[in-house]
Amino acid sequence: MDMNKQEIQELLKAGRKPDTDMSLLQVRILKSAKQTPQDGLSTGASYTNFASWKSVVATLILTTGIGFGLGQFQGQAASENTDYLSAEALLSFSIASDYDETGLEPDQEGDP
Amino acid sequence: MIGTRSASGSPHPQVDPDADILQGLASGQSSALGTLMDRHLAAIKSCAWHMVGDEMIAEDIAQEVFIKAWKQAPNWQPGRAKFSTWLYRVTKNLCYDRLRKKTEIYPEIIPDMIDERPLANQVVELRQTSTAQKTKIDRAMAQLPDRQRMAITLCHYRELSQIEAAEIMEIRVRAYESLLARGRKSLREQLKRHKRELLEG
Repeated sequence: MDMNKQEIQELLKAGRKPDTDMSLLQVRILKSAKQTPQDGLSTGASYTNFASWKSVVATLILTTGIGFGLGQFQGQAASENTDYLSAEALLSFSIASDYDETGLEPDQEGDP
Repeated sequence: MIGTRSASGSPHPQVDPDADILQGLASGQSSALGTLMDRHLAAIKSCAWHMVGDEMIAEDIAQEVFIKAWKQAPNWQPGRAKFSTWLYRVTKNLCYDRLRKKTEIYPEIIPDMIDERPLANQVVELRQTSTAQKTKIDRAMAQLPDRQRMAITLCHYRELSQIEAAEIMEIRVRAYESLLARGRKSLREQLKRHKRELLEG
């Protein structure tokens, strides 16, 4: 007496079956999913991140360049006015003076 | 990375029946997860239940499968294996893990599922008979090696094609057929003595 596939199928289906009400389990899984972050490694997402990162870098370079250019113009005007004075001041600090006040008469109006 | 190739090594030629909800799932829509569960939760839980023989553990496994699907959906690569195949594959691996960790999932004597409410004696007797028969089938299934039990579950309970079952088990179709044949032979030997009473009961 041998059992064929059909008979095994019938026998197995006569066995115990799991609970078929999935509603509570569904709620449990949905609740758990809400607390579980998804992996953000999709191709689309990484491309978007890369694109936004590139735009931030480009903006930084552009603003630095503009700032440097403007600085050059303002710097030129300032140096035109101050070059001579600053050079003279620096020179006065660095050149040793042989001027001596010890042999001079006191001021007439100043000291009593 | 999910979305692996089929067991034969070639990309899956069929259109994925779950393709319509995968985009929603990848963008974090819980309604898409709800639809996915409407389609597959009962089958996945049933598959896990037949493998581990325990309602609570089967529910835990089913939950883990769908949370993995939710988590990894943005990485899914369409055009390869079907999403449902991947779900079954994860289920299979989780079942193997559980069975490995707890080798005595099935107790020596499977407890009878007797309703404890007061019932007429005749009904109780009938139910006891039925439960005893079911217990014999469960025991016979539980005594199969894990891989043979998985092969039997996919074929006889889930009624999947041999190609799909082989993909889930990550083996060639020939190997699946052989596994199934061995599983059936073991079951046949164990159930032969009870065949008549089981089929009549």
